[in-house]
Amino acid sequence: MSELVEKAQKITSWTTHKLFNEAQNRYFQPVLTPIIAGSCMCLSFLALAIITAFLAISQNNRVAISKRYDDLSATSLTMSLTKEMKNAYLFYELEDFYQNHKRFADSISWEQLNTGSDSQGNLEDACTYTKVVCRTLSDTCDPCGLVYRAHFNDTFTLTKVGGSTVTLDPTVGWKTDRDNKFDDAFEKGDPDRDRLTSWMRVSGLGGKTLKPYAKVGDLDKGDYTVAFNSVFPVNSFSGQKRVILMEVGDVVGAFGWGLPLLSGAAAGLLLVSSLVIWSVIVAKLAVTLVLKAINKNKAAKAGAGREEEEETTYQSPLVSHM
Amino acid sequence: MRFPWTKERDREISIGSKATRRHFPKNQIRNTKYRWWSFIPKNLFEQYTRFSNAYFLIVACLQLWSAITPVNPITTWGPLIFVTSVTAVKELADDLRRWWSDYRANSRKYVVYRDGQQRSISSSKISVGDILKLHEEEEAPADCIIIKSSDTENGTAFITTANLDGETDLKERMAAKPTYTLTDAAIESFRGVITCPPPNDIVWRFDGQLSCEIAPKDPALAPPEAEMDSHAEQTPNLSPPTPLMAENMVLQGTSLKNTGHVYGVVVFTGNQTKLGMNKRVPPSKATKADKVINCSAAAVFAMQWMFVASYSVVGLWREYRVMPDEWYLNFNTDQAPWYEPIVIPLRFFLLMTYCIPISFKVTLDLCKTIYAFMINMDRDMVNQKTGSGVSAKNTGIIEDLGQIQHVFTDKTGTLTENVMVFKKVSINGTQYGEGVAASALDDRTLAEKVSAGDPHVLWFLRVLGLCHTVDVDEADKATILRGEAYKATSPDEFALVHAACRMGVAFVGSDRLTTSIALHAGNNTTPKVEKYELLEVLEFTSDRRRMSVILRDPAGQVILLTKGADDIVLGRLSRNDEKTSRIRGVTDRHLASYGNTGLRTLTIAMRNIPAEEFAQWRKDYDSASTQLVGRDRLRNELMDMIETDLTLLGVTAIEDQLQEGVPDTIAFLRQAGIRFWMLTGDKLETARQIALSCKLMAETAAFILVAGTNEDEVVSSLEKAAVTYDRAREGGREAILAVTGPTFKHVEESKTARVAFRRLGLKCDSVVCSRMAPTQKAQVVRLIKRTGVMTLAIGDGGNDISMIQEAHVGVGLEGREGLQAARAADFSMGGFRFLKRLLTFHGRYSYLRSAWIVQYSFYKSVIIGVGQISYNILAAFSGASLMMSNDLTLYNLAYTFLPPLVYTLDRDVPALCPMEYPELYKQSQKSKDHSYLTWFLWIARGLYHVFVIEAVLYVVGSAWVQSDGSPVDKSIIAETHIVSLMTLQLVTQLTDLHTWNLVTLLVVLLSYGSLWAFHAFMCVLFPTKDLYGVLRRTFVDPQFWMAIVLIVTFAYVPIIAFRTARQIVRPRLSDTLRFNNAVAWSVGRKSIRGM
Repeated sequence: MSELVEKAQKITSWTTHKLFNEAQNRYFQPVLTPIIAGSCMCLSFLALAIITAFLAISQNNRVAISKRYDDLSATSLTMSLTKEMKNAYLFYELEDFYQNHKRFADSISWEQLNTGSDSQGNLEDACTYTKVVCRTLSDTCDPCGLVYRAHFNDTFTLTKVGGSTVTLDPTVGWKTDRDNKFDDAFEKGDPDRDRLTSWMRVSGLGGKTLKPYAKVGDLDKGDYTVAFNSVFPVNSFSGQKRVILMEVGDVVGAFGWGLPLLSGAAAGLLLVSSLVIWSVIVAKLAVTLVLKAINKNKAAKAGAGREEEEETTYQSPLVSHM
Repeated sequence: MRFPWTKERDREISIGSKATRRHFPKNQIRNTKYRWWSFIPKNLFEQYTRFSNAYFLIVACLQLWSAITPVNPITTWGPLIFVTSVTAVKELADDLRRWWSDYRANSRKYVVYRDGQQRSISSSKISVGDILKLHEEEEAPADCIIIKSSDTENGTAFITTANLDGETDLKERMAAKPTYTLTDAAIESFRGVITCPPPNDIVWRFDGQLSCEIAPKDPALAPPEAEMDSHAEQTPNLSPPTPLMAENMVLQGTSLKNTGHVYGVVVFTGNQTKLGMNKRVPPSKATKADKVINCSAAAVFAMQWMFVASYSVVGLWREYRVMPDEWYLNFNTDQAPWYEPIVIPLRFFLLMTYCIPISFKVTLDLCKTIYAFMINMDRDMVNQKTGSGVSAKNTGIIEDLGQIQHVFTDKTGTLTENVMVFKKVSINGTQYGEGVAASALDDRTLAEKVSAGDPHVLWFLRVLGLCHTVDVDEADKATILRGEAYKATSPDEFALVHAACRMGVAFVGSDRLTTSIALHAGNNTTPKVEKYELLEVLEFTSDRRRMSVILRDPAGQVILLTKGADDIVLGRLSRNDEKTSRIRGVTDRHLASYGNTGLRTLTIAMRNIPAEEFAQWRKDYDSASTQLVGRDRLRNELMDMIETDLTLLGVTAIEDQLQEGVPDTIAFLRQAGIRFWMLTGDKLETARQIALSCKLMAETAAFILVAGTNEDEVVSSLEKAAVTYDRAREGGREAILAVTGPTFKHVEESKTARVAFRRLGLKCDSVVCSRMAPTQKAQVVRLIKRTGVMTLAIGDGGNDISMIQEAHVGVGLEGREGLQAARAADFSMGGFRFLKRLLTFHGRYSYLRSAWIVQYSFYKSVIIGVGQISYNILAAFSGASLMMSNDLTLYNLAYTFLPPLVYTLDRDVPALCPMEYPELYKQSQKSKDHSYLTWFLWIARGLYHVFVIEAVLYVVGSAWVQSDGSPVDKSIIAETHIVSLMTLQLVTQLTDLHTWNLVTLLVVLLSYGSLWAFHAFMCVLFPTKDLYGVLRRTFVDPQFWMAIVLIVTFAYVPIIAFRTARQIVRPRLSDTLRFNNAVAWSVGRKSIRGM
């Protein structure tokens, strides 16, 4: 027994020694000395500057047309393309519509949407602000909750002026949503099903709700008519509705001017910071040199007075390591 | 002084009586805090009466209300249950360990006699009034009065208190006088009555009486009616009471040694024993940083409520004015008018609860355990001679070691070895052993005088050989005469008895009634044994500061032999003789010169007592000894009476060498900005000499002595001292303040003097307090501690305990006088020199590490709490949560739980530096890394980071369309948020760690990786959860990575730029050392790495 205890103590002692002393003694010291910090910032500045340029050019070349239509009395509007569009999408945008309002965003049962049904109790919890009609999704039964009940129901068609109607591919939204997250019973057979899956993913930043309507593909130059059926009410909360035609990149997607501007600002911050650091380094060096020169001068003068005295310069450890 | 128990009735224990057994509690020892049934309620109650736990319990309960909770209740319940159970398990483990040791003590078997019947029962069944038979090596289960010992002649028994105070020497105990001659059979069926005070905690005192029951057949022993006292009146056949004292007592926990067996009557049982009554929870000490932590946490709490209030105002406005127009929110449900005004603020409050880090107390406790572990395991702090290392007993205050400003140190045994070497004597005005290095033991003149039988010299040596408490081990005569068989508690006494033996007067042994010495001067003479009848021992106490024995010499003359402190004994000499006063003058000069060379002196004197005077005194003394009330005061007065009119014999001087490394340690710590106070019972000259030799003061220092015999004198002396101090400072000299115990008594009494003394003491380079009583040591510490400076007290003896417990940090040395100080202290160690490493290495590192850990914990909580509430600017002030419930739960429990812990392995400078650059210590001493300013900076950093995250997310996110034409939804924003938040944590941890080693790097990276692993897992497996399908989209999205790069850049570039600029303009020593080391390392030179 005591042997076991002794052995255990030996092992503990050995482990602790390994862990607390040797581990600490074998270290790498990632010291951000001023020069390393200054150099890193310079390099980062260069990298970000290149990225910024790329982003700005890319954004500058992107064709995008955005038009408000809720205040129009007509049922169509015209969009003129001065350049041809590659891989365009048709979007709609609601302003001052808070999809991420707690009351709205929580009013949904993912269990019901995923498996086709949910228990009555869960549904009542999840959809407090609407009546729960039924538990199991079917042709006649809609999912519970505000998100579904207040879904966007305007429709759009796109026609080339003096040409044919452009085919709108409604396969939008996440592939994983279409295939796995939403049950097959959800809006079975509805041509708008994919748009709805996209609507059910609430947007997260303020009252701006941007959603895809359809995939348009490549478009030639020329004028296009967007015909709309405006039924979704926004006047009561003084919201706006817009329709947007925009190119989407294969890899990067699409972004506004915000990203390149921010990137440029970050590059600027790096430049300013590295300049500050370098100038402080130079200033410190200059001050040190000047002080040294002055001291030498003084010492020489003092030394001339009493040459016979032995020079004893005590350097404290503190000074020697400065 | 009136103790609470003095109101209780005295105990009357009738031996062998059933009523007595039933009346008093059994000998069940219970040191556990909980019972099996009370553990859960009591522990929960204790935990939830603490503010932070109660706060989170309320939060967790509120979260059960689904209408207001922004997130799943598990986000709070999970961590709360985790924290609660960690604390509970720790408590349970502690209590189980106590229960186990109790169980072992309670179930030990003992032999007792009840009504003449021998029984073997377990310890817990023993009751008051039982007669216990204790064998050699057995531990006493309860407090007993010895009524008979196996030593039938003298009734002596020996015990050791090694289990209690670590003293390994044997202590003599006596069986009660009237019974020790009885036969074993008579003892086993013995009946009688013991009267004693109720249980109390005064260990060295027992005032009791024993009356034996007398068999009616034996009229010779029957007492006369008149002598019966009140207690005996109820039972008429009792003998007159005999006094029982502490020397008749065997205390619980002590063991019997060198004695076959003893019979004892159990008087106190279980937790009512002296030992049990002394068990107290030691005064709890809080660290200096705790105050800053509490105030800052309160400030964070206040900030939280400001946020909640302002968001609630906007939220309510929106609820009433804007929301009714938002048809899609279906706001027509009927709610009571009070509902919204309550629900909205509560929602915001719940969002912000994460501002207070729930696991921070647990984290900090774990870190402290790690520090303690490192201290206990440090091989560089092990005294190679004794094998004892440093042990951190109070892990809670380890950080304080890095902040010490004033060290209060004992002298004997702490700065010095406490190995006494006999050096000089002055006998009857003649000095022996002249010269600095010479020893009186080698002085030929002295040896000749002993051989010649010079009466003064012989009597001097006789006093050394007779007046002491040293024991002789059983050994043959030659060993005894060589002085190799002595065992003593006090190193001084050992040195004296040993020296007397070397000089020709050997103490050969003593028993209850006699004590003997052997005169063996000269090699050829046969030893001549002198046997003295031992009449009385007037023992040494720290108040009396002297010890005397009264003996009857072989010629029949009653003599009193005294040794004691110079001032006390010199004050008790007879004054009527001219020759005496001449000798006294010479002796005084000798005393002064001994003091000036740092020797410890004792004065030896004796007196012949007329037989009649002694007879009268003896009678008074005996009657005083049987008194139950005021016994000590009476006895002290009587001792004063007999110890007068002494004749001076001479003076002894003993050298106590400095411990290894003491001057270096003190010099280094003084350079590190620590002030030293030396508190000693020795006299001023000795103290000054030691202060010089251990570099507590320079040779050129101004030694400013404060003296006075009343308040006014002391005050004016202090005023003069202040002037002297100024002059010393003008002259560029060190200033040392000195005070003696009697003067300090007056300082303590007057407020003006106290303030002046304190002001001067705080300014001076060192302070030397000599002739201090134990309580005065604690008074000095208290006086200085009250000004708010950080104090550390270090000592080795029982007289330092009060000082050790008073100071912020108490350090006990495992000295030659036992382990009492080490047991009472927060840290115990094997030598003074380890203080350097304990403070500058462990203390400083621990302080810096904890400072980072605490402030980082709050930073990481503020960033998440404020982030959650700020998101509502973009969510219509509706109380929505940006973060997903899973991430909220795991943030504290998994993602960021371990990185603070491994910060305990960080070293801001290479391991050799703290012990070489004393200036480094000043950084932690001045609380540079954990102050209100640093807290403010950390919280400001958190708020700035929240701003950066939300701003970048808003700017990037509002036009962010992914490559399949899907604009980002809330889950992508949340994902970007948590990843960028955790990346910031990673950057914070990596840039704030000064050294990366395998463990820290692994833990930090794994913690970061756990986020990715969890998200990858959720992305694939749970279609109903928010995270489903998210990571696979973001991982390939360049905009996602861009957002994170931008957030990290904006968040950290200004901080690093500012930090770097500060390091260039105003570099700290630690920065310089680190840079130099890194440069040396990178160019391939040998760097200052670890050991």
